[in-house]
Amino acid sequence: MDQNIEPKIEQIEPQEPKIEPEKKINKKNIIILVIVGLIAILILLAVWYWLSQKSVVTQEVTPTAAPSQPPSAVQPVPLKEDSISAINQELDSIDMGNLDQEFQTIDADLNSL
Amino acid sequence: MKKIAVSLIVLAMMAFGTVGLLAAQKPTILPVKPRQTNILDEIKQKAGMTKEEFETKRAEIKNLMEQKQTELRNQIETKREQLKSQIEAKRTELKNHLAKIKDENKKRIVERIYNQVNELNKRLTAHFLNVLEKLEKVLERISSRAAKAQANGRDVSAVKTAIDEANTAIADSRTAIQNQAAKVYAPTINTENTLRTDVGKIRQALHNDLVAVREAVKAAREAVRKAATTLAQIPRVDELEIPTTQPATTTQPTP
Repeated sequence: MDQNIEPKIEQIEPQEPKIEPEKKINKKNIIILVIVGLIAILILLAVWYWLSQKSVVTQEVTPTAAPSQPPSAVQPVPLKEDSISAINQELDSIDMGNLDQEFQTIDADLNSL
Repeated sequence: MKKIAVSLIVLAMMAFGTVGLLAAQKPTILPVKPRQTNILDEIKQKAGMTKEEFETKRAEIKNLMEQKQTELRNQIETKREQLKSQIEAKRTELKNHLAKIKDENKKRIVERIYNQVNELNKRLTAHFLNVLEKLEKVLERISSRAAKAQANGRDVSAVKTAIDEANTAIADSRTAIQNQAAKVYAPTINTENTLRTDVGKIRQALHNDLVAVREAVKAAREAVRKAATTLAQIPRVDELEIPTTQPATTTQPTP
């Protein structure tokens, strides 16, 4: 029986050095995978940042285009927004307000004192 | 495992650092654009600019202008929020001063005038600010048209001078509006007999101040109008455009 056990042990012992390189390879693989994964995350973050910047720019551009539409929509003949006629129309449409009219309510109250 | 953990931490720090750096670049990139505030200057610097480049630059300048307008609005709004407590404190002070007035109706009128005066100041400064924004937009259009004339070889030096003057006038009226928006008007009550005169003083003070602001805005409007008139003196200026792709080949012919 003893003779039978001994060779078994001998069989197991030479296997040990074979397991260690496998573990090392596995560890290396894991590290490589983690690094690759993190690089992928970094790339994704960079792409996300680039896209968010792009959307900010488009958001900034769209509101500028929108307000310029109403004046041209009001005009029967579409004018170039930087044409002399459009510029003069825009200037003429600017209302400075009537200051004396704005003070009427105050003046009425003041006179009742 | 330790090595993995360390490498993970290092890489995570690198990732955060990269994102941080990219985020930190954002405020430094934007102020670079504000340097270019006039499309006319842009076209002078870069001869042979294509239509696409021109439109991009113009959009940038428009964005910058709107950004500045929003900043100013926010500044004024913040100032108004700060003034609210000041107005409230002066209202309490006024109520204490009005204790010596026996006529309850007159007390109510004085308080109402106090509210109306400060409310009118707020409303009219907002109105003048709107006018100023419109003037800035018109001036941007004048600059755009002048730049197109410049790109087609026209002499725009007189227009350039008028645009610069208009910009100065706009800046002056912007300052006037900012200062006006920061004011609070409260009467000093002496006696019941002088009540009308005492309250009339803040009415007059507000009126005088608003007239001064209005004159500043009017001056800006006239300066913009002068720039438009000077621009209109360039023969067939409305027909001039920036070449679509190839400079100096697709431009409108001039007589």
